[in-house]
Amino acid sequence: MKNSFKILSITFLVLFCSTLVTAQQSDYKIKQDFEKNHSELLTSIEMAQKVAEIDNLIIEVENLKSEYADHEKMLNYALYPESFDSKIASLKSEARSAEHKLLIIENQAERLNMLTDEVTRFKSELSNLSGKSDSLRKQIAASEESERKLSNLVASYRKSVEERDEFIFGMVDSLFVTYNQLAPGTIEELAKTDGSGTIKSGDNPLVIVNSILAENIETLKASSEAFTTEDYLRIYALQNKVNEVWDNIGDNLIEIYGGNDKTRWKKRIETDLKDWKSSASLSMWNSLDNYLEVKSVELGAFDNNSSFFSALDNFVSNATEKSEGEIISNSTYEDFKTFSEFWSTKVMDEWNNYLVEADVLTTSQIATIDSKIENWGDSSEPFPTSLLIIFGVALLAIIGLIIALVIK
Amino acid sequence: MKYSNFSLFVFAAVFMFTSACKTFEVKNVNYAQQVESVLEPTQNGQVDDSRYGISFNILPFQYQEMQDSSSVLVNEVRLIRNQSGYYFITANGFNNVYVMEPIDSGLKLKEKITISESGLIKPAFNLRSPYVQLIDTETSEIYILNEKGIKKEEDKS
Repeated sequence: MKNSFKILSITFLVLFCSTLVTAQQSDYKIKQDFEKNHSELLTSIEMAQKVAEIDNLIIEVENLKSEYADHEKMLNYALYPESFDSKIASLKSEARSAEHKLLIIENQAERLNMLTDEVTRFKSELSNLSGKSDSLRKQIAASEESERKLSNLVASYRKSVEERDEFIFGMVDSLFVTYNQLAPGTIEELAKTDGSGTIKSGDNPLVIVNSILAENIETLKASSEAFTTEDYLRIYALQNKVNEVWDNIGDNLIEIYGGNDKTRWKKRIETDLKDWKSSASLSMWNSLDNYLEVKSVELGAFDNNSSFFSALDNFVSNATEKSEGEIISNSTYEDFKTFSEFWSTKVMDEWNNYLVEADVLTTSQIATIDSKIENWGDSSEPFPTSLLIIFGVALLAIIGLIIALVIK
Repeated sequence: MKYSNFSLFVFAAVFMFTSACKTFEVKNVNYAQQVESVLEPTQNGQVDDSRYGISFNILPFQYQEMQDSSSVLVNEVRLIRNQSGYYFITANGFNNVYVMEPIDSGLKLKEKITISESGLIKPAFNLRSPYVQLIDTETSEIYILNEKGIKKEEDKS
């Protein structure tokens, strides 16, 4: 009973004091305090780095609302043209928006970590493949083996470079898919957290891209004897792909991983890409020209996609025109057979993927030439000898018949 | 005779019209400002309440309090208007609250309410219609005012 009275007394005292404190407050001060709390909460929401922080801040917004609910009427007046409710609503809206943004960033950061693991795997695999290719190239350079053994070494080397190129194709695809899907507006946040050192420097995709470029430039310089036209086409297609992917995600990669050396990274990679492109392009067009020369296909000069198509188109059109003028003779038919074999085995089969992938010829250009080759085949095919004999016999029979009729 | 009747008619009409104009008024207007304005004087003593559209100089009030208007000695002027339309004006260091009645291009003293001989330290007004509550937030002293003076002293701690 005594205890109950004591508790009651304390409760009454607390209530009395709090009423007293409330009564002695200045409305202006209440408004100022509310605005200060609002402003602090807003800043905290804007500065929050984690979704969990935002969740706590949302609770604080609710607390603020409850704390000032008794002064709602006064605050509505004092905060005009805003109101108590609109101020609370704006905080909640900011919090929801920040939470949404942070959820995306956290999700992106998670994906980025996964990618870092993938980049590490890429790096190790690429290193193995490059090591194997380099070793084979050195063996070829220093080889005093028989021609057959040397040929085997060259074949192994070509296969090894092909494997490495195929791997890079897959890797840049993976990089593209990951970085191109980063939500807009999250790059800067990721750069803040990851550019500074979360990613180990060796696993930095920029380092990987740079090493790919350096190794490929080196490969092109060192392998003029070992590579076939198909190899050069593949390398050209690969550099085309890397250029394309870099155009799409390069700025994002630089922003996230460039750290304090963004300009240097950008300049270095873009210079290497340019070198690789000119080197791959020169090697590929030269190789293609040499191949056609060996096959006795005189296309004329070409050194880019459009001049190559024009040369092919003119060659086939001229040959068709020429064969249409020859009714009995079949002098162009051999040319047709040579070109047709090159076209069907190389362009339409072995090189087709690389030609299209590297934009050396588009599918519609290939279809156009293919159709013209068909016409060329029809017009250049020599008149069959058996038909000539039948025609001669028929002619003689008719002449004989006419003579017989005249004699009668 | 004819003109004098007409003059009388005109006089009566004008009188009735002006009388009607003079007596037109709207009752139960509430001038109350729900939250006080806290205004910072300029170097010349001018205070400007842009929300409630009033601007005046604090130096005459300061002179009343301190007999000094050579420079501005108050940093914040507290102002509130009650529902009858009287302005209650005070500042830190003032002993009085000035109840001012708006007049043509001016404010006329309605009542000078003495609060403290030692001066208010951190005064603040709250509107508690129909009264104006004055608190010295430093001493927690509370005064209930109207345009006639202190209604009652509520608490002294």
